[in-house]
Amino acid sequence: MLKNNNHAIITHMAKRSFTVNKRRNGIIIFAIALSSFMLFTILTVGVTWIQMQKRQNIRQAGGEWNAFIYGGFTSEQKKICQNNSNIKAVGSTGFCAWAVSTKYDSTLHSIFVWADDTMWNTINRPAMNHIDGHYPQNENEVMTTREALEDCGLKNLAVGDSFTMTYEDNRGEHTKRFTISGIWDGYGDKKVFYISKSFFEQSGFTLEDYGRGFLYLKLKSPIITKKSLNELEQSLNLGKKQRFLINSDTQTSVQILLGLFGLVFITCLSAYLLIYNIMYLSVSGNVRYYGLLQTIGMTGKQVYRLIQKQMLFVGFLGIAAGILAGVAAAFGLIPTVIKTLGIREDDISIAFHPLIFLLTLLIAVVTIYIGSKKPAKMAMQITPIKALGYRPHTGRTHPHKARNGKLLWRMAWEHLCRDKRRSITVIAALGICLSFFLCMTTLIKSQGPRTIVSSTMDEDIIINNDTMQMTTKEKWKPLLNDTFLTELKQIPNISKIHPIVNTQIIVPWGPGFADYWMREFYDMWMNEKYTDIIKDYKAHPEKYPSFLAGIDKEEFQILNETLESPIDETDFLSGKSCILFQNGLKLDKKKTLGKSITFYPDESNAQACQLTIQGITDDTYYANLLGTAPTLIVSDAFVRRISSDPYISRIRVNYQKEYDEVTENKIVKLMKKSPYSKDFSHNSKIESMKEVKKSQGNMLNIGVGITFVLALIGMMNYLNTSLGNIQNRQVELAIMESIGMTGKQVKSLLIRESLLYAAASLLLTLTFGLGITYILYQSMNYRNVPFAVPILPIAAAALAIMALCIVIPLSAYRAIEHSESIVERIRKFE
Amino acid sequence: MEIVKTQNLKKYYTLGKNTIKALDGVDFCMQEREFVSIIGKSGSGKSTLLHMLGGLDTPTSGSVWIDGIDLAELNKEQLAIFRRRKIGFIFQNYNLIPELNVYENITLPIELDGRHIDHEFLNEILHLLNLYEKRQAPPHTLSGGQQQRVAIARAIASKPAIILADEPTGNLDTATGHDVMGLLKITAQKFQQTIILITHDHDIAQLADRIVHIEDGKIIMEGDGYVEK
Amino acid sequence: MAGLIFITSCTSLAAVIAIWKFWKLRREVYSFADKTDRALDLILSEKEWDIVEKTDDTLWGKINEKLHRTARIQNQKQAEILREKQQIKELISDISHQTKTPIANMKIYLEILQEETSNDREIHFLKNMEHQTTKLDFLLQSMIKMSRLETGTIQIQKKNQQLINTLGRAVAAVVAKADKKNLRIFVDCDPEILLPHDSKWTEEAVFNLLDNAVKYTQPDGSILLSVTRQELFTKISVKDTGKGIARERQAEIFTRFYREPEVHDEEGIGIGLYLTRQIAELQDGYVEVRSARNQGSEFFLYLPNESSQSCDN
Repeated sequence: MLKNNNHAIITHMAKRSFTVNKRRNGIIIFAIALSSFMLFTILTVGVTWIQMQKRQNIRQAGGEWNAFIYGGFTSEQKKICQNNSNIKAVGSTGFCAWAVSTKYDSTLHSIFVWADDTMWNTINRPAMNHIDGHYPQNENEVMTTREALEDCGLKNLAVGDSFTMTYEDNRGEHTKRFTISGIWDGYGDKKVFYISKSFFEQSGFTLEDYGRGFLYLKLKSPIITKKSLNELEQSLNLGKKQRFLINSDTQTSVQILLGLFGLVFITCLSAYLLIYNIMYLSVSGNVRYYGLLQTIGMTGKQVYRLIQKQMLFVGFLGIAAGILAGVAAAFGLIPTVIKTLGIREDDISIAFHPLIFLLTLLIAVVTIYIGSKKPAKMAMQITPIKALGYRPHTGRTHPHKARNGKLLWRMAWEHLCRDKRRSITVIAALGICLSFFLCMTTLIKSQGPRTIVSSTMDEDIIINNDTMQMTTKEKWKPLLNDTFLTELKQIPNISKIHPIVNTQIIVPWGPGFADYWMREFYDMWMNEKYTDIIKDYKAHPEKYPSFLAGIDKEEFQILNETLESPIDETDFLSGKSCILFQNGLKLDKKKTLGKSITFYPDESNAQACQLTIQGITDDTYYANLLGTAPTLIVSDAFVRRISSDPYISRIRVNYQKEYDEVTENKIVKLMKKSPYSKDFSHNSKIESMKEVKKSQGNMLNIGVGITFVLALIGMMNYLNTSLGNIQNRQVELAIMESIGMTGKQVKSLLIRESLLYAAASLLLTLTFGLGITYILYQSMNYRNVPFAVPILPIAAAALAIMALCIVIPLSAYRAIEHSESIVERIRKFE
Repeated sequence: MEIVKTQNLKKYYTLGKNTIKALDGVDFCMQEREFVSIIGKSGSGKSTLLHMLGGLDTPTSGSVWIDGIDLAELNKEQLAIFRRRKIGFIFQNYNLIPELNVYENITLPIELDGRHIDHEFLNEILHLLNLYEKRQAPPHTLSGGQQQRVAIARAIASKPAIILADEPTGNLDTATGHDVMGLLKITAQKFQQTIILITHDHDIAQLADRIVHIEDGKIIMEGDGYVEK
Repeated sequence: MAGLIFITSCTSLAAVIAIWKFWKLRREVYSFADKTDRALDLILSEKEWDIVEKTDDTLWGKINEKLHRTARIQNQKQAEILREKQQIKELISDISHQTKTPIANMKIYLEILQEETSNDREIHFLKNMEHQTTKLDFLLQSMIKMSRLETGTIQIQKKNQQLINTLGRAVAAVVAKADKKNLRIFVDCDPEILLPHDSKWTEEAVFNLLDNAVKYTQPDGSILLSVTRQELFTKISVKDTGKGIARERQAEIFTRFYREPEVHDEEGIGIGLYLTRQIAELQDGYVEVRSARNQGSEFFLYLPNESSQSCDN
């Protein structure tokens, strides 16, 4: 049968009750508005961040891709990628020639690259702002940029124009007349001439050649497990020179997204608790009303619908207000937040995706629905007869014999237990906000110590000699000479100074380790094949220089501890053994350890030396100078002994007190004073700390903002509960007063109840909140910094919560107490 | 035609170890358009009887027929629908819906049933109960007597089979109570309503066509079988 | 792909059409139910049929036609009843008219006979006959009034006027009878009180109450007629010092032909209080009695302070 069409009156009543129950509805609307504001903001931040991140990636990478294969690729590998279900698009580029000269300019930097259709149309396109013309079809056509043309001194040319250029490919130099088929503008490598496939095929290079072919992969979803990435890498059967590189931003985005989801969840939870509690109070306070409606003939279903409709009105108002506020705040707030999360672009365009509105709406509506479902069911189940005889239950009466203090505590406890559900929701709401605060402050405060990654020495400042990065020894300058060291030593409050002494060495070819190293090194890092240069190396080993890095005893001891198997100290210090810097190679230990290496300093009259390789290290700190041949770490005494002119490339300094700015300023001054002041560089712990602090400051602000909103919701929950509670208990309190309880005693009863609430939520924070904080902390604790909670802000927050807990019910009671006499209050519910 | 009929109606409550016999075998009949007072002291079971008749509560045993419907066969939802179609309630504490104005309160049972509202008829009732000027007022601005009149109007407006009035003058002073009861009587006559009035006040009970005395959950006397003590 | 799009769009189009159809149908059913509801209300309240509906080939058109016919039959029956009432009214007025002269004549003949005869026995019988004739006259008059009231053939004409005048006339009508029993009548009424009421019939009602009081009060008793203005009603109270009425009978004394079992010897046919009640109800008022055995009784006639417009039809 068709249902009776009696909806109009329910709508009407819902509307009416909306205007009548202003306080209740006001609180709910405010709560919903706050929550949807939070949701909206969080989601907008999320989506904006994702979009900005993507844009930033695209711009930096010059295309939309998540991973690429470097070092050439085979057509089988391309096929494997194309068949992989996680991959959306596979594009390839082939670098095949470089510009040599035009008649206007002979120092050109532009290169010739062929991009296949997928690469050009799918992967590169998002990074391009606009394109004139078309991709080259013919051999003599090029697609280029203004920048590339300028580089060739051809900046006035336009699409359709031609020019003559000399270029070099695998087959040698050629001079050719090109026609510009198109010009594009956008992001990525700009000094490029894109050429046709046929041009590439004629260049003499293939896509399989090292450094010529690149395979770009665009994943279907940037959120992909490491496992499937590894599987993909495995399936590719990469050759030695090939590298499978993943855009690292893909990983951090997952973390940030998870964090945002967590926030969404917490917000929903607080909002749910508040809505549930208010509705629950409202229903249990209006049992008579709902019963009456049922007496008159409202069916349970209609009552249910009435409550749901009320929530609908209230909900949509709240959500609308929240979203509006969110939109307004978005312009001011979100760019800051996004920048804090690591986006460096200047023009942050806030993403107002319709999906955000929809999602906010959906999440809020679901929260409201779930929050009001139970109370509505409760109202539905009220029987009219119960409602007719309903009195808000006033609890059991207690014998008033017991001593004053204890009795009051017991009464307060009884009160908390009387309506467990309500007490739990209030405590949970307060607890969540406190826990969140705890979590935020702990994580933010420990951000610095947890994340500043430095070497094991934990130095305060590293001073570098930048000139030593030059390839020609002649350009080196003695920045960190003895005078500098002496002056440095005179600065007070410096505890340790550890210089690294370097000298250039030549390792002649030998059938043993030298050959093995060079083979591995060329396989790994170089374009040329080792077999091609071996002759040259044998004849002129001075073209393949390397370095010794001399360290003092103390540093050796520290380094030695990090080695897989520590080596003999006397051997090292006396110059019999050395430690090899591995330089990213995967050396076979059998072919390395215990082998001797022969070399001589790159000086006139140098004598050959021989050392045994005893250890292998990957610590780049010691190998700031690299050559083709192996870099060896030896004792500083040894360096000074064999070399007449050793250079200090790097000094690391520790202060007596960490973060001693005075000392650091003195060091900086010393560097500035030096005639070579421009050639110094330094990494200071204080400076990196300052940077961390800067981002920390923003995070703290955001954290405090979120905590504030959550706290507001939690406090509203408590406020509402205690107001409702005191109203419901008016009779009970009045009866107590009538039998001789003084106002003071009533107040102290209320204070005890409040203290219990506050204590319970603190307990929740200290167990549950602390637990979660600890887990989160440890998961981000890269440096094993001991877990510590910032006591001061937490204590302040706890105190604030306690104070509010006490003030609210007291002032509510005061308002009631002053307005009516005891008799009036007793009568109210008769 | 018998519009109300109960047969051996019993309602027992258990309170701890004690069983309270609120109703203990009540046989009661009413004709259409009759005005019956049920009189008894507090705790005599008269309110329980009214709750049974109104389908607010279910009997321990026995049956209730209202307008040919056996209430035992209805579930909770059906009882609510039964109430809004067949019963008009008037309570001691008026029980008006605070967020609706007078007119809306009166039309509420009709609208809950999605029925057509006969505004002419309602205006007639409003005039008769002297509420026409107050029809837009919210209930809390009215005096007790006025509120009770609104309750009467609400009970009558949906043209129920019977009107159940539970101590309708309990919260009113004597003179107002009389006025209100007079109006109830007049309107009931005018619209040919059947009324069951529950009261402990003999003067009020006098207004009925028939008086039923109830004591300890039993009808001890009906009409003229009364023996003065 | 294209096929899939085609199928999807067809399905969704079909769904949209189905939903729209359903929605329309539902609206029509609701509107049908609403119209029926309203029509039935009209029939139930016997009001004028004012639903205008085109004759068209719809369900509502069909039902409407039948409802209309039902209403017409109802109204016809109503009219018939009214006509019959009219006829009864005429009959009654005929009877009253026709019986007036014979009874008056009978009374004259009786008086003549009484003057002419001196036989004690005859005089006794004649006296009885006169008494019976008077009673017959009274009975006939009462019945006429009663039937007029009951059939609604009397038009109550409410006018906002001073109540004291009406009461005065009623008191005047019982004074003689009260004097006979040496009863004192006190009147407590604010002469300023204005009340919308039908003077003639209210006088009748009050007279009946006073007459009743005179009848059931022992000689040397007293009767108090008082008027109180309440919030909604003006209460006219007649209190006597008579023997009172048992509680269990109080609900019945206002019914037709009810007479107290102990007072059958008194003159009266148990119609006065019934008339009073009828008069009260016709003016949207009501009556009430409060009494206890041997403590006198108090009758109340409540008349509304303001005439409700709906009754001025």
